Amino acid sequence: MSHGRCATELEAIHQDILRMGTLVEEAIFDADRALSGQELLLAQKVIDGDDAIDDLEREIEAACVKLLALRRPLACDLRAVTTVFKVITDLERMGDHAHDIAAIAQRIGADRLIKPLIDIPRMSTLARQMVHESLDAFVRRDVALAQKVCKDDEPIDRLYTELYDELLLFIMQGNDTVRAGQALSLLFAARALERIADHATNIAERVIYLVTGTRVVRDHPSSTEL
Amino acid sequence: MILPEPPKALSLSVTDLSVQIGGKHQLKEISFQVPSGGAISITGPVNSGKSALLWAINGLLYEVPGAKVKGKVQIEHVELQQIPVGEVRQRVGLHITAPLARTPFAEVALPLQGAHLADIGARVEHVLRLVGLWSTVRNQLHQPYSVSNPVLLRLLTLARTIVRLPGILLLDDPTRGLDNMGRARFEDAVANIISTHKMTLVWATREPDQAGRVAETMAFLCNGEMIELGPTASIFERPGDPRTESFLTGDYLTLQSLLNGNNL
Repeated sequence: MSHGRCATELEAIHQDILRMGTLVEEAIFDADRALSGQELLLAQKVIDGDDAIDDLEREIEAACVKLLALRRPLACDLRAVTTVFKVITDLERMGDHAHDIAAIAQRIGADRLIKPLIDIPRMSTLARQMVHESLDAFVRRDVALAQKVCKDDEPIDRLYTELYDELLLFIMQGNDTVRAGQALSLLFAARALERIADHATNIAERVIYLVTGTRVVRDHPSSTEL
Repeated sequence: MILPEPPKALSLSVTDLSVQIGGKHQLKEISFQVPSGGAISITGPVNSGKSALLWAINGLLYEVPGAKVKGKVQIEHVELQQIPVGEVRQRVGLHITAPLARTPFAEVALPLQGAHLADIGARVEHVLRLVGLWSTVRNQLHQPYSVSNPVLLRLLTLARTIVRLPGILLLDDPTRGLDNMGRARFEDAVANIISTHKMTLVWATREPDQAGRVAETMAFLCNGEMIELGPTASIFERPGDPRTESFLTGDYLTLQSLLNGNNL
């Protein structure tokens, strides 16, 4: 960020993004606890809290449009504004995925879980760490940290693939439609976490562009094609 | 004539151009090319050397007492000093905003004195139409005009600059002090001229916004140095030098400290 004509507005937008990021991290954390610990009140909290994330996205977008209209940012300021547009979309989508996980927790309700959830909390912790670090990289303009976040996507993809195979067996082998339905729900939850990690990767890639001006070109899609 | 006859856009090449006036460096080893019919904006803060560069391209600088010019300016691959001064003045048009005559007709026709042109009236009408002034002044062509109308004055002097259909048009911050509408009108006039006569355009401006509108290639000048040269959109998005970055973002404190640090 420069100390030029957009400095004050961009600083305010930064603060709002951090607020939005904090809400998203909380939502992911709570959604995982709601699912793994079957805490239904927490699930409702995540679902109710999604509006606040959406509101912040709209506020930040409006602030960016105003900045474009009034200050005509150039150079690093221009890259900052275009990056913010992308970052808030990613954050909003993460909020939606947390909402989806919470809804799955509600659907499973108090039913006995078909298996103890180990990989999903692990994925959740990794994804949350990626979200945190991607925003940290954004605020500190830290390319090395952003590159680390991009790499951190792989273990989550791997966990998702393993979980996919495992849950597929539940779905195919059992005659119990309730168990198969729960397996499918858990698969959707794992998929949501995998997508959250992808969005964190997007943010990290935008940070690299923001600092270096070079757009990251992916060799392969970061999300698994399952 | 050494250069191609009008109307013909001329290529421009500046190589290692350095200018000192009164011992002070105005330009330091400036190099760039503009192909025939191309356009470049020269952007930079006040006193960055934009005017000196235009004066050098037009050859006027050689006539400034105490000016030392090194390096080459070539028009259509011919060195400027090998081209007769009269031909340079005719083929390389530098827009001067000062009024030099009392009536619109006399103002615009001024450079045609001594030109072998069958129908001066038709040429004056043609360029007045190009700059969008014909309907405004057609009934007052031979009456004194008001120089206090800045838009009228800028457009009339623009018509005067192009009346001999130069192959290169040099504009030195031509819309300074104009309001939004006047600026738009002037920019439209230039777009109309170069699309009709395919002139090569060198447009100096201190406003980055204008640089973005008038040419897809830009050079950024600072303290007589060319800091950057390249596609305007790329430099606006990703400048390669902190001085350009500071100028574009309006971070004058950082720009000042960068310049002081370099003892420029």
